[in-house]
Amino acid sequence: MTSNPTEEAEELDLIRAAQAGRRSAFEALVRRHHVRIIQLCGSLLGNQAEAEDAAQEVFLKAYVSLTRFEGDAAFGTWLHRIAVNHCLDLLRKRARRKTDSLDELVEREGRAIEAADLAARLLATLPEEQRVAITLRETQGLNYEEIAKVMDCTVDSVKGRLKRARETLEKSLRHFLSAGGV
Amino acid sequence: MAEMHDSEKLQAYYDGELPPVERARMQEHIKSCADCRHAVERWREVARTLLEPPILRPSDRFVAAVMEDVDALERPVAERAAWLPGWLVPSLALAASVLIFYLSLPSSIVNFDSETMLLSGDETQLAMVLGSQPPRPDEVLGLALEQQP
Ligand SMILES: [Zn+2]
Repeated sequence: MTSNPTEEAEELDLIRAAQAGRRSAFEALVRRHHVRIIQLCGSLLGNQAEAEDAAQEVFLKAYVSLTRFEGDAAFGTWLHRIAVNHCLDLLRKRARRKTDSLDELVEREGRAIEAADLAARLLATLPEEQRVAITLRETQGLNYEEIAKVMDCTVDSVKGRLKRARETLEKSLRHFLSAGGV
Repeated sequence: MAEMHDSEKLQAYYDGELPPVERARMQEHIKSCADCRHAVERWREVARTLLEPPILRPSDRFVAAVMEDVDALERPVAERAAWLPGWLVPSLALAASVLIFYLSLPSSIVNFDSETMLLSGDETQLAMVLGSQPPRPDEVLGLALEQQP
């Protein structure tokens, strides 16, 4: 998420202009960040079809609270934070609906499970904070400090969350492979 | 190189977080240590299988769609502002914009958990839903993390 000083200064100008109500400035910010935010939503939701709708709402939320952005973190980090919260809300709603366990799915569909579906299901078994941390690191390429800012936690917590997420995913992946999947 | 395994440092190495000198030292260690080498390979395998970012082609309409929503938010607020006393405008405009924001979303994609928040009776959460105080992202994150089982 790191960018060079010129880009940062440019971005700050855009943010100030957008905060002052200039429409084109906010539009430029959306244009700069939308691909990564859609990608993040898709990864967290495990569903590309929902990613754009979710990201659209993320940018609206950002717009509504734009005057609250004080520039203490990078704008991209701030957007990531809104996106993470929004997607967690969506996931909690979805969790109220019953879904098959992975084992049920393997039994029913055998080897035909698509890789993306497998990924979404295994990731869904992680506690929220681990899932978010590993997604921000591996999929979005954020460094420890950026993840800590997005998740409002210490760098040490980030390390712990990543470690536990990797241990669990490693185990579930092995379990799945030995059960005859993919 | 006879060096102790250090799983935290190994992970930092894998994540590209080690300063150059330590990075070089870890690289040397890995050459001679199968355990650490395999650990890194397994992390890579997990990332490749489960965490590869999808190839995305966002629709060409995405930015325009966001801006249409933004315009829809702004229009009624501006109209209202004309006949209200000046001191009332900012708070009402804010409340209205948040309300209109939720009302303007198709019901199928209203995702902010206003129902739960309203039912909770918690002051901060109520304020967030009612818009007297728009949520700061960290507040939302705080709530998000609080609410998990
Ligand atoms: Zn070793």
